Amino acid sequence: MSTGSAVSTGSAALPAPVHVVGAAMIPMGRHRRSSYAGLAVGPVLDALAAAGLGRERVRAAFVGHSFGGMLTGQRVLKEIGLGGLPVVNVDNACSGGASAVHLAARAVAAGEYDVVLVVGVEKLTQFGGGTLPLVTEDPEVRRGMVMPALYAMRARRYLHERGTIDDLAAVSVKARRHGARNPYAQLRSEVTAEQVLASRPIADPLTLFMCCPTGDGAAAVVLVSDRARAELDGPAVRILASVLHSGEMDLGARDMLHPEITFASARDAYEAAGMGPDELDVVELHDAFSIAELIYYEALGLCPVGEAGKLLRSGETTFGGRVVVNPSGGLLAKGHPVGASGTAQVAEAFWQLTGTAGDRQVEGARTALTHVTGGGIAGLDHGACTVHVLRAG
Amino acid sequence: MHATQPSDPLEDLLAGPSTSTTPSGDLALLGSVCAGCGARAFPARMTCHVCAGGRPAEAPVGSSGVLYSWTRVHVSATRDTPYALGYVDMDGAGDGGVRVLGLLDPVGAEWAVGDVVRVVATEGADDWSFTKDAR
Repeated sequence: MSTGSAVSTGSAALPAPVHVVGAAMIPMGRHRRSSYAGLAVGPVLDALAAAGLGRERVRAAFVGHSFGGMLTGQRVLKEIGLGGLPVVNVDNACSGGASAVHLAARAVAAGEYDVVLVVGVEKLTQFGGGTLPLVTEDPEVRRGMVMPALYAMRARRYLHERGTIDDLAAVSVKARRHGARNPYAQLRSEVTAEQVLASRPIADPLTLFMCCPTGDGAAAVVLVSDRARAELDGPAVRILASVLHSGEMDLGARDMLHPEITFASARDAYEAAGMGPDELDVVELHDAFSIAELIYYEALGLCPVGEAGKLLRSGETTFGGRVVVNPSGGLLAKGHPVGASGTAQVAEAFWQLTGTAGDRQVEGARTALTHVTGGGIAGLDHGACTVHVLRAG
Repeated sequence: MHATQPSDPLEDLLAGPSTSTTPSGDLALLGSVCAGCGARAFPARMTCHVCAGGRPAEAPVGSSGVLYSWTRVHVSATRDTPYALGYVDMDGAGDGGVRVLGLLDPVGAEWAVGDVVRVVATEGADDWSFTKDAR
């Protein structure tokens, strides 16, 4: 039950076509010798080069991050002499990088700008490891809440109501198998279910290998209008839907296996895209912890509620299956530098849909969905959720 | 035309006591109930998250409840480990009752979904926690 007054944001459809025409990122990992600018400058230049656009064509930039401090975007862009244009810094926790894509897509579709740069960047090694620092104004954070604990309680309910610990391990095994093919991934070794279960406990029942690693990362994508697209020679991917939702306050008995914010965001995204989950070839979803992938299979409509374990075991969500979920290795293997992840997912979708994903290419992929949430806030399932649906141009 | 008046900041960091003793001698969590719509909350609130208009008043929200889920935390940025956390659906409030995140004491107990737990006073920064209700 939701006790708040959820408002419709109107149609999630974009009023005019928006195209992704370039993407780049650094391998996620521990980059202690790089600043925020140092992490992001390479992807910015490479994404523009991939698009065949000079920096002078960029009309605005949206920069997602959560822990970069003031003016992170300007600190990145001044390094390559980009100034004067509007630069907006976007924090939405783990959804920051996707929220930046959302704002950029809406701005291009509204006709405000014809070429927009999106950056997602984060440096988590500045904290020296451990759990993500949450906001101590929050009553649950003051009581000891950390992100692994929240997902661990979801996992406990999953074990109580539906599945087994083997399902939680199998998600990690799949993620690491995919990540081993991805040169952008932080963790590139495969693991067995036994290794996942034997890795050290983080928050029972979650073990280390069921949790995304701590690391640094940066990704950039370039979005353009139809008119700018017509001038370019390279491949393009169309953004069919760009949805951003906030969580709804509920202080009562919430079903932790039914994340309403993702159900609602997915519903709006499919409506705007004019397609359903059965038409997706690739999904990059928010598997910050292995339990999340199972819950989001259901919330994104990839299977009926209660059948996530069955879908995973069927093999339909790995290479060769009906819809490949997290071909990049996902947050569990590719890594999860909070504000960078949402942009990185859109970059992965661009590569998959332009046939440039190398060893992790999903054969013949024509459609993709990306999904990130942003949590760590009492009373809400998550604070933010961003979903994009993309189609090969 | 009248001049506009400044809005008031809510002094919501002035936390009151989080527990009170019931007439039967049990320790209860002290939250709030909205005078306008009856919505319950814990911790106590100064605005209503349901109707946005009513003024919540301090009220007990239960002294025991049922463990919805739990975890034993081994890595934390905020406190010494291990510690155990649980979501407890507080009873005595019927529908519209609150779910409360609390520490489970002792950390090493065999906790299980469905356990009946009650509020107990503890020493230190956390002035209360949940423990198994043996009664």
